Amino acid sequence: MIKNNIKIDLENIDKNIISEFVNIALSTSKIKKIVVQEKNGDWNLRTNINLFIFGEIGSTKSTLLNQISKKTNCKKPFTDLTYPALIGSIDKLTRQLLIGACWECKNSLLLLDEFDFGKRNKDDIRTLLQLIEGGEYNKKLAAFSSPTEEIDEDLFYSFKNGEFNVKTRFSLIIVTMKYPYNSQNQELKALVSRCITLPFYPKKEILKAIAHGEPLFSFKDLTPKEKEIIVFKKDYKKIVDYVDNKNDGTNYLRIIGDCVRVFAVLKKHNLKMYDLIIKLGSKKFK
Amino acid sequence: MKDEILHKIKGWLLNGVADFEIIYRLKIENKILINEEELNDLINEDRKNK
Repeated sequence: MIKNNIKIDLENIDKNIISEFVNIALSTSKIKKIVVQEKNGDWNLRTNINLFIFGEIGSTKSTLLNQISKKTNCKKPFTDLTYPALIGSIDKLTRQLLIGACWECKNSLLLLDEFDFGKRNKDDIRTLLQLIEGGEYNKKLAAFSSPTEEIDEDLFYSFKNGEFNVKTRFSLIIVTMKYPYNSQNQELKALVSRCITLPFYPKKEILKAIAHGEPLFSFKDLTPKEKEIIVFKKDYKKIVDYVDNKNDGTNYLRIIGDCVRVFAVLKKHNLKMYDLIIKLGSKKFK
Repeated sequence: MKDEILHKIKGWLLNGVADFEIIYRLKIENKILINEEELNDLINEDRKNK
């Protein structure tokens, strides 16, 4: 039953659409601020679009991530991302600070390959959730290292007096073979609710083309010139009205949020992308 | 007060925060106890009033 549903979903999702989403996600990681104007006040929207790609074993998910990493010049995919690897850690012997992936991937993509939620420590996922929602993270550690501070425009990474203070921004791309909608794991549900979920089940013809060297991912730099974007009332209203007509209320505002982020990058209303976000975002957990 | 809370909830939802997290945040930050059904009613009511 689940497989049949997936197949229906897949009819419209091919590698070109996945490439488009990845290119938009990469661009959002470079945007500093999105302000949405609404009649009752302004909202600061998180800028980053996160993608959750799920598919069968052998569906070339890892190949896709490796191509994304190579073509976008971002860090190679992580296969086992623990809390110390994500935030940073202190080497026991040298007392040197080892900078975490959250800073190394700033203004770029953080790629997670075959992320197994069952094996993850809840704290690892909670830290990841905090970082992808607002990008800020503070924690006191019972460890000592010489003070470190790195600043990159509005972002910073510091370790002083045993305390991490981080403000970073990256777009997360997770690939997994786990079908997410049957999960009872609260952390996974929270993570999926912050992502656009893309089923990736390439047909034999696509796999054959890949075997003959055809690329899975095409890079296009969509980074907007302005890094602080205001979405005016008329554009926001257009998005809200469009989603309102096509959605029954399921994940309604989350879908609007993702459509606004797409608009912030493209600077125009791409109804094809909105339709996909509505379709993919309207799926409920069982 | 209700408008202020609703504004906050809408901001969370736009940023992709899950329903159960919103319920937890309202309990911790605003001392408001609400269940999933009541949360959905609140959002739907606001949507209809637009």
